[in-house]
Amino acid sequence: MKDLEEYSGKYDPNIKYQDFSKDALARLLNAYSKEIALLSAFWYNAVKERCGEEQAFACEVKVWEDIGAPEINWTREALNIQETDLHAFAKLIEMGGSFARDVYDSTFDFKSPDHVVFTVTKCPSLTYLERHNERKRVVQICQILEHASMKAYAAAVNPHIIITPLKLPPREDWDEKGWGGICCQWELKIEPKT
Amino acid sequence: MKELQDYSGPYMPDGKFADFSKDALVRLLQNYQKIFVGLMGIWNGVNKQRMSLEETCKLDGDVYEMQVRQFELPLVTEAMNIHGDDVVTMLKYFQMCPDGARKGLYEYDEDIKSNNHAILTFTKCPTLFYCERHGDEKDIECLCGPGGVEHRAFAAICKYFNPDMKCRALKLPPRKSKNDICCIWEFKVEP
Repeated sequence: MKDLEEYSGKYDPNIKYQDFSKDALARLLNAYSKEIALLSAFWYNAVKERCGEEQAFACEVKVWEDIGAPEINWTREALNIQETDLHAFAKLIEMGGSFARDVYDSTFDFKSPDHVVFTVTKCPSLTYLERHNERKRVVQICQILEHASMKAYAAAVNPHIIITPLKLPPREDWDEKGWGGICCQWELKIEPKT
Repeated sequence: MKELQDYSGPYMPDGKFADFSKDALVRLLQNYQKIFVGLMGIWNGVNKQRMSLEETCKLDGDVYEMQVRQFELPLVTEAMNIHGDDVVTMLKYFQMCPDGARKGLYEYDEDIKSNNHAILTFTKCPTLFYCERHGDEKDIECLCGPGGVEHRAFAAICKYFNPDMKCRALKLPPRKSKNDICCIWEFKVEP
């Protein structure tokens, strides 16, 4: 099996992902996940131009709600993650295409197996919107869209997961300093059956 | 460190792609491809509920063209260090992009006349197959027809590699039968 570091060499009609080194595959994973993350912004702007902001945002929320379950299931299958607990949620979110490592940074602080605090510490989308002073869009994305999509992703892992936002932008002074480097923070719990 | 074949073990707070085997990373890449293609499809479906098929199709083309030019092409070519301005260089990009040509996704037979001239016969296209199953002929025309999404995407990709590179459809859907090929495209640098 070949272990190509890149594809600068000759064209190979039969080349496969397996022919590349792990470093090359990791770079490609990062490229794909960046593209997945950016895709929504293009769609939002294009729909907004034709149908207005309200309709564009409604479409955006619906799309992320709809992709939640397929994305979780495809990632489960790809990496054989079969559990339905909060550890599985952490694994599935961090390895998923729309929230990939090296694009976003996050931590999971497990208080117990059924209780975790999920903190996002690097979010290029938020940084971009803050730089462009898009306060209304920050409220839309961070408070409404993210909450809706997080619920969809959590439900696909386990319908009994309850997700509560602890800290959501807009951040004070459009700056991470007052927030201790936090972009957003969420609490996830699996409530015992009564 | 032992390479993980999957992620069925404990959660790793500092886990990296490098912790996984090559096979696991390949499966993950295939997963990301599905997410990318899935997102495009879901946006199309959601938009259809708010606008006409023609408008939806125009929007698909606009978005695809913009995102491929501004992000997909630079991201993928940089990640894999793909540089050049001929047709075979573009074929390397086709093999590496998330909705690209490879076994199990979009499959084609190629007839490479020279580095600057190739004819691709697409024999498998999940998007066309989906439209054939669920859509009507108008969907297929919007996607595959002259000036449709595919045509605009190929034209944008050609232009990125070389302003003199052109794409020309030699055969397009709708197909007469399921055993028929999907489409045939010619790519050529024509100064």
